[in-house]
Amino acid sequence: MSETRQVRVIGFGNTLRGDDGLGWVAAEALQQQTLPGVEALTCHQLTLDLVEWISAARLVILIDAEAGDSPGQISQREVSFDPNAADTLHHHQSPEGLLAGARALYGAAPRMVLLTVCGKSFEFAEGLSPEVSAALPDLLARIEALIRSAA
Amino acid sequence: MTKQIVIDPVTRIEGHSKITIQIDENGGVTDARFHVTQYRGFEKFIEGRPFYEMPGIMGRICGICTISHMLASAKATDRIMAVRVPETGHRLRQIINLASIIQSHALSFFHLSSPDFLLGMESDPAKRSIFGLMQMYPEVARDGIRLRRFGQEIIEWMAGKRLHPTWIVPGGVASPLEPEVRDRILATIPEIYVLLQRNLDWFKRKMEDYAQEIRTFGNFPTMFMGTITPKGELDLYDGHLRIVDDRGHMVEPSFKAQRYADYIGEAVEPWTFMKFPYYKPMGYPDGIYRVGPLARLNVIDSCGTPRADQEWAEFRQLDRRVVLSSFYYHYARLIECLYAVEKIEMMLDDPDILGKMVRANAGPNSEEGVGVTEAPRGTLIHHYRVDEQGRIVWANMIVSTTHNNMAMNRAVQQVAHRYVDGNKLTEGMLNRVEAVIRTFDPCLSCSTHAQNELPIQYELVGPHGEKLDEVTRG
Repeated sequence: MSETRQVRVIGFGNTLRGDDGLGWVAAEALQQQTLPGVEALTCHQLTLDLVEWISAARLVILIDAEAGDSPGQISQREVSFDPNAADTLHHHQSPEGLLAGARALYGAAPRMVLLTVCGKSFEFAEGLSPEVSAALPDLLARIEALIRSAA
Repeated sequence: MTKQIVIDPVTRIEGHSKITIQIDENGGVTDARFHVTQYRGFEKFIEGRPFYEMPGIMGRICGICTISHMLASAKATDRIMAVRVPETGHRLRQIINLASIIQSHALSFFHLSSPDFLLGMESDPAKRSIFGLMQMYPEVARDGIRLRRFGQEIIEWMAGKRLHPTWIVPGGVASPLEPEVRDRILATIPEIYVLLQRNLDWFKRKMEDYAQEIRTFGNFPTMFMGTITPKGELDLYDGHLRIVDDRGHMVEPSFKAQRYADYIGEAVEPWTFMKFPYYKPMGYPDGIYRVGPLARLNVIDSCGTPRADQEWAEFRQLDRRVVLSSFYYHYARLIECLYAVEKIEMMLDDPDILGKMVRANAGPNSEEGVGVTEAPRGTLIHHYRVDEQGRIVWANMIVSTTHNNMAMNRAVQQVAHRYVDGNKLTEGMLNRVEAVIRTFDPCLSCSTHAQNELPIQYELVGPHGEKLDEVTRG
C-alpha cells in the first residue's frame, strides 16, 4: 500500500447482520471508483492495528450503521481528539480511541469524520434494507464531497 | 470464617475465565483455581459434515490462531485422503504457520504482557495496557503493532485475507505463491530483524527487575513437550514429538505425533470446561507437562537458524538444566519470532517456493486422520474419523492451551501463596495472579472442549479444606 494516500476510508460492520453491512457496501463502492489519493478498506470492527494505517492520512472517513427510529437517515460528526479515549479491555476501539492512538504513537492528527446511516434491521441476513439501500447514493455523495474538501 | 477472592474476568488474555482463591480465617491462601467459563463444542457439531469442509470450519474456532487450526485440520484431512502434500505446498503451509505464530506472539508479548514489565505490576490498572504503553513507551507500542502487522500481512498476501482465509485446503494450499508477494515479504524482513533485536535487548535487561516473579511465576518441575525435526531442531509445523523431564532427561525422545493417544490421556474436572491432558504412563495428575514456546525451547537440541540459536544459547543459560520458570515464556516468544523470520527468509530464498504444484487431490481413502502442528501456544492436535462417504463421525481435539491446564492451575496456586494476603488485598497481588496466567498466553475460546460434563460445580470450602456446601449449575 502506498503511504502517500491522503484520504483513508474505513467501512465497518457485520455483513451477516442486515443493515450493519452498510459500511462494507459503501467502502467497496469507493474501492471500485479508484479515486486518486483515496484508499478504502472494510473490517468488522475498529481495532488497534488500524492506528498506523490512518496515521498517514490527512482525512479519515469512518462509515457505520447505527440503530434508531429513522431508517436511511444519514448523520455526520467530527471525531474529536480525546487522549483518554483508548479502550483498554475490549477487542475493538471507538473512533476516538483510534485517533488517540494515532496521536500517541505516530504524532498524527488527521481530521476524522464518522458517517452513519440509521439501519432498519440488524437481524441475521445478508443485504441492506430498501431504506438503507436508498440512502447509499446520498451517502456516497457526502463522502465524495468530504474527499474533495481534503484535496 | 473462610473467604473467597474471585478475579473475574481475567484480563488481557484471549477468552473468558476467572480465578478463585480460597482464604482461611488468618488470611492465608489455602487453594487457588483457574476456571474456564465458556463452552464451545466444535467436536460435536462437525459430526456429519464432509471431511473436506474441516479446515474451513475449524479455522472458525479462533480469531487469533485461525491458521493453526486450519493447518492441523488440513493435516488430518491429508491423512484421510492418504496423500502426500507436494513439497511446495508443504513449504507454503510452513510459511503461513510461522507468520501466524509471529502475529500471535506479537499480540501476547507487546499488547497483553509488556504493560506489566514496563509499567509495573503495581501500576494503575486503568493505565496498565497497550494504551498506557503508548504514552510511556511509544516505540515499544509501535514495534508491537508493526510486528503483528508483519505476520498478518504475510497471511493476507499469501492467503487473501488476514482472518479465516480459505487458502489452506485438504491436500495442500489453494494457489501457488506469486513472485511479487515473495519479494514484498523479503523486502520487509531486514526491518523486522532490527525490531526484534531492539526488543530482545530491552527485555533481557528488564528481566533483572523481575527476579522475584521469575522465582515464583509457575516455577516448578514439570515435563515439557514440543515438536522436533529428525536432527532435534525446532520445528513449528511438522515432525515428531519429544518429551523431556524437569532435568532435561529424555522421557520420550521422539514419537510420531499421530500416536498421541498412546502417550497423552485427558482428565476432566467439574469446575472448569477445560480438560486436563497428562502424560499417560505417569497418570493424572502426576503426568503434568507444559507446551508452548518455553517447552519447545526446552526440548530441542538447537533452533537450526543462526540468529535464534545465538539467543537460544543465552536462554539455556538461565537455568542449570531446563528453564523452569513460566515467566520465561515471554522471552521464548521473542526467540521464536526471530527463528520464524529466519525460516521464512530461508524458504522464500529458495526458488522452488514458486513451484506451481501445491495441492494433492483425492477422496476419502482412510477412515481416520490425525493432524498435529505447533500453534503459538503449543502442540495442537486434530483427530477425525469418517464414514465411507467421508463424513465426520467422531472428532477429538487437544488444543495447545489445554495441555498447560494443570500447569496454569499450579502456577496460580504458587503465585497466590507467594503474593496474596487475604487480610489486605492490593492491586499488585491480584495483577500478579493474572500475570502468571498471561505468561502462558492462554487462548480459551480454542480450548474449551470438555463435553458431557457440562454442569459447573461450585464448592464452598471451609478453612480446613472441608466441603461446606456444593452447588451444581447447568
